[in-house]
Amino acid sequence: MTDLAEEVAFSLIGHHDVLAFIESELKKPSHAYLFVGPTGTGKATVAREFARLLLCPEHGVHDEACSSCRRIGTGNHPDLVIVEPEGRTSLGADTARWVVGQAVLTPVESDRRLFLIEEAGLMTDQAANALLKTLEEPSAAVVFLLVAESEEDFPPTVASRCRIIRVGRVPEDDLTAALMQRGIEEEKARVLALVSGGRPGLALQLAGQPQIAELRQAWLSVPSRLSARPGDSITMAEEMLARIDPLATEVASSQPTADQRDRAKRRASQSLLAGGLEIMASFYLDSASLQLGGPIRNTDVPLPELTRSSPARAVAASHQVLDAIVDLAGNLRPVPVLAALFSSLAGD
Amino acid sequence: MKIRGERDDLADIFSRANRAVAARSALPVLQGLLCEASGGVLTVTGTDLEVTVTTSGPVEVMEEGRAVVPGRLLAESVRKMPPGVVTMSVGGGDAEIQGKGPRFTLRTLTLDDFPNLDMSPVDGVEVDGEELVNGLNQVVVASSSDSARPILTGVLFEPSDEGLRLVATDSYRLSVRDLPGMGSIGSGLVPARGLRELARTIGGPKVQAGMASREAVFSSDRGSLRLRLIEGSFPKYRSLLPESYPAQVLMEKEALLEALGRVTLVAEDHIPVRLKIGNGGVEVNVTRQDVGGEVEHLDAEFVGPEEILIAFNPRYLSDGVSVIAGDKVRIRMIDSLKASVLDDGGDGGFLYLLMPVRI
Repeated sequence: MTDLAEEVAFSLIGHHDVLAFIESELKKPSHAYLFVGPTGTGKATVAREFARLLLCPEHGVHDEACSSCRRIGTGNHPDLVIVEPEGRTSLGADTARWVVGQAVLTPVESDRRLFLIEEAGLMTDQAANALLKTLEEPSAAVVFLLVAESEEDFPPTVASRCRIIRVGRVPEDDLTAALMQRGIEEEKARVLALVSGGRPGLALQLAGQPQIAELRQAWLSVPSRLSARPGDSITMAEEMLARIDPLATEVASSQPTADQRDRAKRRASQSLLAGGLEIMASFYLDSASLQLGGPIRNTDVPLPELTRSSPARAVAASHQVLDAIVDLAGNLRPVPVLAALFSSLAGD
Repeated sequence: MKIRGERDDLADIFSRANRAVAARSALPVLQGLLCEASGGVLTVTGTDLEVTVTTSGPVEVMEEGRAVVPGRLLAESVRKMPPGVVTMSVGGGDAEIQGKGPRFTLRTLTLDDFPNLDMSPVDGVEVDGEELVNGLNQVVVASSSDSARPILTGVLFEPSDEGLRLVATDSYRLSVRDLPGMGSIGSGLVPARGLRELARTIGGPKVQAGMASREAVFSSDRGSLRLRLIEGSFPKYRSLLPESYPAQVLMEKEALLEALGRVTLVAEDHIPVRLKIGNGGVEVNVTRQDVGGEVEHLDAEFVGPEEILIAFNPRYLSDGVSVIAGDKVRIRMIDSLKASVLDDGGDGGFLYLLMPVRI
């Protein structure tokens, strides 16, 4: 582990390779970076860390936070321009034009001027077009840092102008260990790692929530509660979403403005839903593995429940669950997707 | 920090600095004015990072210190005090503004969050402030307000044989002003938005002006105005200026402005005003299909081979005419499609080039 990785390990969990890459970029940064990865994995944290190191006169190598690093923490650094969407759901052409105008001004304090667009995926096509020329050839001092879930959130013209940094999910064991380092007891840390699906940001935000273990149990119990009766699937889908909703609201509550809370809640709901479905998928994989004599992950599930379906059907069920995660990531509405999944699993 | 001064003096110091504070800012601390009291002087700085205004004045300093106080509230609360002495004292996260009777308590912002602005003086020249402001007013009208074309939102400062040349264009019109003797101010592309603030913030009979590596800096005995330079290359405008003009017309400036005022009652931005220019003078004519029209005749001296029918955007034309100094306006033309040039008919060191509208 490099010095840099050690220093930020406290605020950032995992991503050692990404940090090493960032460090190698500090001397001669490119003019645009795109940080991509699933929600809650810490890609925005990585991007902010990159911004801090780029602006810090000592490249972050100091004991106490310097004035530059401190002001990045409070959102008051004059050479870090944080670009926010105008409303709940889009970053439009007006904001993009404003950025274009700002990007020709000389830096204030540092020798660089950074533009951090944390929800770049919300950019409209018009906004992307307005930004293209600036993204391609900004003034020498300007560096763009875009953060989004996937480069497919943009027209290809935008992504192709950026150096892409992938921030993936953190392996369950790494995340559990990191959570334990922060004083969370092992059993809870493991549940958090599972429920958050390897997303450190979400895991930390959920750490204070007592109903996390219950949420995991609820997802694990779904397979045995499936019913072929019409209407039951939709009731159960609504029940699972109702369990997620208060947690997502709580996670989002620290955001300062209503729009930011709305966006944070939507992201947290999506992550919690995906994490929950992954738990469900792991149930089916355990079922297949147990019957074939392999190891299982969810050791607290009663064995009879794991032997209800044949290994082949259990594997097929896990595929269906994972397909539903893909559908949800494509912004399909959650209730019908879940209901269809539950009803299809019950019929098998 | 604790100071005391006359309401009108303090209101002036705060409100001029507050002109640089943006209504909404990406950095929370920029909603504030940095107030510094030391050695019998109050110095106040407001900035949106593009435009930075520093004002100062003598006050009674009872306790030296620095604080960042919300700008709009500070300026307005002092302005709305009853006449007489106003005291401002800062401590424990609050600034207390006490007048004869009313007392405001304003939460201060974090001093350490305020940007470390480069306030070092620059090598500049002392120039006639009024002449500089008048010259700037003549060119800023042609600058663009479209931030998507940021280069065009600036005014080019360019030393020339004549002294200093100021140039602005939004690609529909181009304004060029030569200011003799001001060449050593230096070169740079300066945001027009900030230049418009010069007269209102620190303007005076004498102004020091110069360029730092990242900023244009203007100062007077009323304070300083620092404008962040735009990076990029300004369009090559020289080739746009015609070398000769076969036709020209000279008329009264006020008469043309009044006529254009009547024209704009009927025209909207995109409806052109047509000028039929010949030996009999100028016939001004505007028609809008769903509204009606207006027509009138202006006396003018025309020189040229034949009558010209030419059309302009009325607002752009009137912008140009209104910033011409003197009583006359001259329009020099090549034909109805090529750029025309407006000036005062003499050598006032100013010209306004305007693209006609195709009719």
